[in-house]
Amino acid sequence: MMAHLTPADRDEAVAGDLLEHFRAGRSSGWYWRQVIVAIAVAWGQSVWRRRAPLLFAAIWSLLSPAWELFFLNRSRHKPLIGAIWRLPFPLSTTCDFALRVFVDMFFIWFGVLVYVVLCRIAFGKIELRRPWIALSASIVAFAVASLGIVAIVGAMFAMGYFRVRGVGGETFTLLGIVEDLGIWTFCVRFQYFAGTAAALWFLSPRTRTGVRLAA
Amino acid sequence: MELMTNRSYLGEFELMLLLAVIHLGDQAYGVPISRELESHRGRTVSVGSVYAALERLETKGLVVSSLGDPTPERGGKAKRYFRVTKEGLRQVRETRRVLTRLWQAIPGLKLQA
Repeated sequence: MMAHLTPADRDEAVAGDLLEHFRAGRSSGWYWRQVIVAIAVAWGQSVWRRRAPLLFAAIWSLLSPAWELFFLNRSRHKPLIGAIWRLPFPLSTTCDFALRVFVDMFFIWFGVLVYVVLCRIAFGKIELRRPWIALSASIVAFAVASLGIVAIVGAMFAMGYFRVRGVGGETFTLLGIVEDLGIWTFCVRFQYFAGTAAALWFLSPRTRTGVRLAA
Repeated sequence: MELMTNRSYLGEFELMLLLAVIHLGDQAYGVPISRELESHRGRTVSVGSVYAALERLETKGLVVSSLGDPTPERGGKAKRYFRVTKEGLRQVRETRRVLTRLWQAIPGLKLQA
């Protein structure tokens, strides 16, 4: 359980210690409490170590509604979108979806590039790891966040809790939408935060660089 | 009078951990360290918190760690041994000196049972 639920940069010693304690006579209740605490502490440490990239992801995602608005306004008038919509189903839907993914990932990875440049300026050399895993993670995180938002917002709409202002962008300027704190802008920001945070999480180097075997 | 202006202070738990590691010598790994703390504190210690604090100490250069061989009684998982560095010993001695001076400054303190 600990191998699967703790961040990958944790080693096996904690799990071995808990097993040794348990076999020495500790109760099952004690063991499971320790496992839960160990998992929580491990995640807390990993989040704390990555607080700078996570903070950057939160700040960068604040701009995402403006990007969505910019793309929506621009795309309506582009022949590419019209050409995609004229394709036969399901090709039109597939191409539209792929274009949306490309646009979303472009914003996220532009943010990653900004972060890397800022780190380079501040700290000089910066080490990046697992770029392909980071790319996959950002796509998955964005998709999961989107599905979650759709499910929650859809349920709240069905229950008649609120109405959302028009998302076509007619009532917003780019600056205005960045300042907006409505439900739609929150949903957009959450998706982009999830994608950017996932990308920066896996790009960040692990802290434990190696261990020596005891003599 | 020597000043501690540019040094980081040891927290209570970190100081206890360092003392436990010093006391245990070559056998300072997670299980005996947590047992040592529990026996002196009189309450359960979270193994995860022990490792988190030891990793902080390692980052500060006060302890170093190394992996031992995996053993079957631990499910094939290796032990991580800890050892206090010279800097760690220096900070322990300095903390003890400061705390002793502070305690000596309040001789009339009566602690309730």
